[in-house]
Amino acid sequence: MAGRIVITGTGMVTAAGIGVDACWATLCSGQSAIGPVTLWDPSGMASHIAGQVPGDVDVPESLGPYPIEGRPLTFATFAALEAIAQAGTDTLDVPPSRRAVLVAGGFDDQMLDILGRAADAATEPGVADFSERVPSDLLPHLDADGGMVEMERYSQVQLMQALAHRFEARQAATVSTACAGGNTAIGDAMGMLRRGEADVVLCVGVDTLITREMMGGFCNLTALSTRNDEPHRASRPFDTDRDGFVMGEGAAAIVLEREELALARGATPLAEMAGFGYSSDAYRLTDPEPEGDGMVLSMQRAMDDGRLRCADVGSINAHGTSTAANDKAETKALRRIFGEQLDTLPVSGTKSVIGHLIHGAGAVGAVVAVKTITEQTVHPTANYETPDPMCDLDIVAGEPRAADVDGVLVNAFGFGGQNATLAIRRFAAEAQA
Amino acid sequence: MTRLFLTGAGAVTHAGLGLDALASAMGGEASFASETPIPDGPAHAVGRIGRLDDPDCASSYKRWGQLDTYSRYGFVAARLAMEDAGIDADTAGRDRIGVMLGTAFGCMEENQRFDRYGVAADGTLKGASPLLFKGTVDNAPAGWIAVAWKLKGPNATYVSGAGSGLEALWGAEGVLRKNRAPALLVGGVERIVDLHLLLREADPARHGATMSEGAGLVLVEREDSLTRRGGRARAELLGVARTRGTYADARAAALTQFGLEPESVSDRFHGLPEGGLKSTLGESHGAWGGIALCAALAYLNHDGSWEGRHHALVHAFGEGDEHFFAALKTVEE
Repeated sequence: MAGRIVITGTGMVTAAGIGVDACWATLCSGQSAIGPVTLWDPSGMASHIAGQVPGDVDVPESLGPYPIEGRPLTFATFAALEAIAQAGTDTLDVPPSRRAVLVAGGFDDQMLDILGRAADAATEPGVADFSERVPSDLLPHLDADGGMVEMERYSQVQLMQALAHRFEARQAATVSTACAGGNTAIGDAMGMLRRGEADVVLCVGVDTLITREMMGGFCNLTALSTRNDEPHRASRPFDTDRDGFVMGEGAAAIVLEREELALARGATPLAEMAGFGYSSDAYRLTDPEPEGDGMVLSMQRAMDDGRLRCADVGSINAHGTSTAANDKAETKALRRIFGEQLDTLPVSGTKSVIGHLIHGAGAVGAVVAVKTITEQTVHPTANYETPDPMCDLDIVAGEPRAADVDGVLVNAFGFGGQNATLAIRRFAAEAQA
Repeated sequence: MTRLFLTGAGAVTHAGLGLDALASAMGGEASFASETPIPDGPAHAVGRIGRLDDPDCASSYKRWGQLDTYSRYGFVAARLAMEDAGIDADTAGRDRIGVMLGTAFGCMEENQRFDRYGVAADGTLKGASPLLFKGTVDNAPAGWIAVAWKLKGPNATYVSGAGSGLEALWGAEGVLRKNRAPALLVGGVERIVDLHLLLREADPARHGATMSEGAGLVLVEREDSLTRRGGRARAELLGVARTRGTYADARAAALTQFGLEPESVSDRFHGLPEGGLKSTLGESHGAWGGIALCAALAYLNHDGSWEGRHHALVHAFGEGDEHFFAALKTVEE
């Protein structure tokens, strides 16, 4: 097959660690990295546990003219730099017009707080001078002359532009399809490479939604685990005793390029990005369609796009949120596609260890899939102790499992009904027939 | 290469609903309202729509009451575009028809509302309805549209700034050319809130155009789908170009990409802040690309060509020095 797309670099920062190797080691330990929320006082919340990134993440102070401020840009920068370093694209002789950056997520909740307070202050009557109404800590965020708020500083656009600057890319886009976003961005990147609009693309999925607003919202929907006394046991996809998902944070990045370019420059393809599929449940915004119809479409389209047969798929990186609705629908969808093969098809749920990264989830899944293929190992799903009889899957639990994995499906299903699946397979110098 | 056509359009602007209202606005028959977002501060002209009540949607869709204002703009534009196209989604393939939208500010209003009304300072919930939370994602309009029309095809929302509406068309072109969908609802949606009026972009003295809100969606369809259902093409989409530099340089590069001669193309639907449609339609940021596409079709409805020309460029600014250009061509009866 001509025109294949390969992955030449990966980067990741999650609750499981800072860097791909650290994350992979934690994932393979089978131990969950979920703990109490310490970023703010969560005591008023029904749920006060999450997958927080541990410690400080070492990044430059800026990417060119863009200061690295806030958790989204910090995490995205770390993951991007790790992926770029592995891919070796800094010395790549590809002009900026042939480079692209595709981002999913990156909304900085800090922006909402700052801008909301600025708006409140600005609209307070009785004080003529706008700058006198604004709390002093917000002044750095205002224009010097007119008092207009610098919104873009914390926006997704700023993050996208900073990464594009670092990658020397003159094409950039950001997608926002909630939990399916990371996969959607990668799918768009594949489209650009296939259409010949770019030679190399950096894809980043990032979210840092361990915030009062987002956790409060999901608490309102009773979607979050409230196993506050046992955070390590809280995220348990496909287990009967689950009680909801756990919020996570972090970022993952991959570098995609055309196979001929990678091979010509002596790069080592880690895996082939073979296929992408997406769909909508067309059911409800906040609940998956219970029979998994939309999920089936997403997975089948990814396999068709990548010309994968069921027999080519050696592992599933499940969306596996640890909510009953998702886990059951995803199981039904997998059964409808794989039939009896599913009885012995290894499935892993990465969110059991790191929580749910929302826009970052798909990109994390892609990096984990690459490690699954390169290590020929499926990481265990933490807390899989009492299998849900409605989820009759071959869940890898307890210890990592050695497996002959050619292809991996990475599922990401979003709030809003959007579904996106990646088909990643082992890179072989000679393409499969 | 498969030909693509615009087969329906729906616009929601401060001038009203539909292409006729858009045409009236282009004729100078709509005016902006004046607001003073900062007490004692300068007044700004604003192209407001406000909370949108659409009797047709209210009567035909039981969940209409749950939709936030941002989603309503996109939803009504989708209804108008589907009706304009006369498409029967069952026949055309509901499982494969999708939605691709763009927005700059997205769900900011619902984020703010949830922040203010949903969560107390100590982190406790204040009993806000879970319904409010549904609008806190940028992809809510695309999700609602898919739910209402049972469209299970590709579904994505771009949030790359002011060019997002045409960026969605760029994404859609790739999907349609690859035959991942027979047709896609494509365009841009924007809702402005008080906060946005504090932005430098809201100041016409700085930015040159009045801030506005709304949505513009078009149905873009593959030729084989259009032929199969016996639909009517309104214009052909030759392609979408992403180019950089000054407007003149970027336009020249786009024309080269499309293989078009400069004099054969109407530039009426450009996104420059002055001397064009933005003086009457306003700066609607992520919605602009979609609204400008609708404006091009509205113009075609009236005149049959674009100022005597059979090609038009629809333009939107991206971020930095990036530009998006969509090339349209008239269709012979």
